[in-house]
Amino acid sequence: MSELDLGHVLREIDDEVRARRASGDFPPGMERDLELVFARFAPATLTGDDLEALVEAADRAAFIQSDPPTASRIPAVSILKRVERKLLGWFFRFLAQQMTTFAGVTVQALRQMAHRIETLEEATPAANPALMSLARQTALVPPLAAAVDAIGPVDGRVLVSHDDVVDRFPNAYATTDDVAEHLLDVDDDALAGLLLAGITDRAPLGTQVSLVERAARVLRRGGRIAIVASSVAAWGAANPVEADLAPGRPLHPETWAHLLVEHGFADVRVAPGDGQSIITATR
Amino acid sequence: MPAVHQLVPSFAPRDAVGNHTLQVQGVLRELGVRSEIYVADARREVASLCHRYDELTTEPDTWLLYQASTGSPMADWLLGRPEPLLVNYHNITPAALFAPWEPHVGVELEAGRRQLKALAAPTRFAIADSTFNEEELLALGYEATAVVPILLDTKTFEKTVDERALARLRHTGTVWLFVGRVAPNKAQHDLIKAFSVYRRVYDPDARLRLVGGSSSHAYWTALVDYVSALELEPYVELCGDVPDGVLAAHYRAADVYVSASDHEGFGVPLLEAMHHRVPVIAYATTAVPETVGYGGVLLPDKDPATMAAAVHRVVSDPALRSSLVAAGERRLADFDLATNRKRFGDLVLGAIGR
Repeated sequence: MSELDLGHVLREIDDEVRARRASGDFPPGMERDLELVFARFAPATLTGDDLEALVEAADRAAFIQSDPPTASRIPAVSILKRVERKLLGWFFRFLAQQMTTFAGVTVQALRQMAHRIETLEEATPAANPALMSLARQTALVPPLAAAVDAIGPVDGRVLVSHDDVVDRFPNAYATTDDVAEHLLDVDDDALAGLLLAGITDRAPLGTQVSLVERAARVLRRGGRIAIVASSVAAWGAANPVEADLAPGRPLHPETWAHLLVEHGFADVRVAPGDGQSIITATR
Repeated sequence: MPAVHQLVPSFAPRDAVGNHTLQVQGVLRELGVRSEIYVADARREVASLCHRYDELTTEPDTWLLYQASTGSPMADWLLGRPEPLLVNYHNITPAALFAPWEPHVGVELEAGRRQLKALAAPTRFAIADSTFNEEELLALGYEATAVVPILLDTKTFEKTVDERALARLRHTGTVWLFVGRVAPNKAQHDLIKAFSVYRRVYDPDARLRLVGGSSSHAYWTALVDYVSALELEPYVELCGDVPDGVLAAHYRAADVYVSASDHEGFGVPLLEAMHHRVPVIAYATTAVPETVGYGGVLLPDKDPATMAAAVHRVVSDPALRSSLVAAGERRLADFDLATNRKRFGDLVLGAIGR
């Protein structure tokens, strides 16, 4: 056994971070600024689920270069490479032309698919308020009180997706914006709690994952998250129209739990309910 | 006399899997088992120790032991072989970490995962070098598995320090060190973020040294640009591959070893840092926690502020630093070569029915 109390060391590190944040040494948004600078140099495919950016990246990579570089630290090797390039140039050009043709056609096909997906997305229920209204008349009522209890007392700002429960926390607010979009504007470690109820079931998978990613960023250490998630069967039974037309579908509680663990949350718990589960975790 | 021949996609000296393969061969031969090494690709320095895999000829009572660490045509070839198969798994980096930077590497890694899954059915027994790796094998359908850490001879960490290099590397400010290929899964960019915070708040004279060759030109270039954009050029050093003596000098000159790696199947440099009495701070992910154990500070996330504060906590407290160094040395002793060689040998003998 080690005499070293590493748990104690970690708590001291946490205390140090908290004190530096309070003093302004670690200013709000510092991590995000660093991330944004790196994003300038990272491939577009790393910066989210942006299909258009991916197609652009594929387009840029579609041209196959047939002239290999010939530089070398050893001059003789460089000469050798140039000779080889001259001798084999016809062969590589022949291959490169065929590969470029294939890549070009593939990118064209991707563009068409992206266009068709965009058209389909525009035809989803979100663009049809009357149908959505009909569907939501039969929506499951989220167990908000239980979700509030699951978050427990928190000292700090809490963002809730339902304004009905704003007064259940001393320092809570609700947003009328799309929550995933709203979280983009929230500073790192700015929140002590986050309650997501009734907004995750219909969201596309990319948005559901983004919600967890963004929650991990905006919740401070020790902050609590509660997600009310419908079971797939109960949601489909209660909202058949919406279930068929929604861009996404509810995730199983185990999937939420997995996503939360993947994003560094601890103490992840699932409280199963009648058709809806509450998944809680601590940042 | 039975034979257990090893199949290795890429055989290189000074490489964790390469050294492990040689140790396994030694173990098997000591146990009276004939054992040769067959490779798809070998560096010149070790070419005399192995054979091309398409030259393999076998007799009755021959087993094949595949060292799985990447995608390789060798794995597809193995699927068609009649000999009973053993697998020793060192992990394959998830393609998603590499593909955005180097799509062709992503394809190879994806193929490696597919091959690993396909090998589950014919494999009689598989040995993983960490519990993390074993869990991946089980998820892919492997039924008989065990864990034996990579066979690590810590004598290979003993390198004569290049004194000229050491004189150049000695520095009054805090020196952070990370050793590993410059690759997206090693997340050197996250170290740069944390280091940037550390310089700003704790030690403007600090240095971050990233030792290791490039596995991705695109990622290397992005790191260079990132360092430049943050105006950290004099403070962050991308050292590339270095000779043994210079590597030893890097460890000697370091105040702390910091890892933000997103994916490790084992993590030999973590132990090498412990051997060189450098305190270890690491992001606790994949196999890192079971390698570091109680021998270093394991961070639950790699928030730059947390990493910077962790380094400050360790380097500013001599008592804590000493405790960590001592803990690292004790942890290293847990990977005792003789113990692990015996366990590996016993498991292989059990698997082949001896």
